Amino acid sequence: MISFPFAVILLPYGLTVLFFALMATINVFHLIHYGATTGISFIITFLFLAGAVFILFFTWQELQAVNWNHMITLGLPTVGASSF
Amino acid sequence: MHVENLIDLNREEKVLYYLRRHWIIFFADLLMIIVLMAVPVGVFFMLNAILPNLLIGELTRPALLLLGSAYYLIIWLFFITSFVDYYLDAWVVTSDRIVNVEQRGLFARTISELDLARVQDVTSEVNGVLPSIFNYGNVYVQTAGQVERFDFEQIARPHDIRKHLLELIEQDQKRKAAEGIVKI
Repeated sequence: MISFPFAVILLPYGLTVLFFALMATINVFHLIHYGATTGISFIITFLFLAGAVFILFFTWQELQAVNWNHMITLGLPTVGASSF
Repeated sequence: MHVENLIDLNREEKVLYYLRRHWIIFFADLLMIIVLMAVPVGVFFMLNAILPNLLIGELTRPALLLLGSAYYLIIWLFFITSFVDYYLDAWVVTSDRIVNVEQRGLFARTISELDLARVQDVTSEVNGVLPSIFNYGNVYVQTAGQVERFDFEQIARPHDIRKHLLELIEQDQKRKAAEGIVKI
């Protein structure tokens, strides 16, 4: 029987957010580094960052009421001697 | 994109065209992104109808929320990556040369230059329904250089670009021939 807090599911999500942040930085860096600093690229970058903030904020807002300390137990049910 | 980031212009050299793929190419990617973003909404309505308890469960609701959030982040990342890939591909035509800037993914970028005097042949094509309606297609520049062919892909008004390129090549050849006579 394995028990773990529900907060464990935040780990893969956190990794996804890290990956997203890294790739987003690289993308924006590319635009700046190669001189693609035009009005259109600025608008698209702004939309992208605004969208990312919206997704993250909405997620954070919806997860406020979650009890992350809730223990999840995985395993096969045991059959005790008293069952017979 | 600023041309001076790509090439050093000679004193009398002028930038005549700064070409990118037609906007409809990025728009097609955008449509696909919108469809992908609608998928979780469809899944939500489906779950609401078939398994509504999943959406209100103490554990299942946050799990689904995190899954949906991760999905949207990845799709949103795809959006900016598509734009960068589209926007950083460019073809610059000056009075002296052609510069081909190709962004392949995020971590590969190739810049090729070709003197107009080394151009052997220019071909343009428009194939398909959408390209015909929106007048975009490919221009192939056959060269005598290390890179055998420069491809201008999915650019607007390819036939006009071809005509103008041929005129430029002729003017460039005449100018260089005249300079050659003056030097002698």
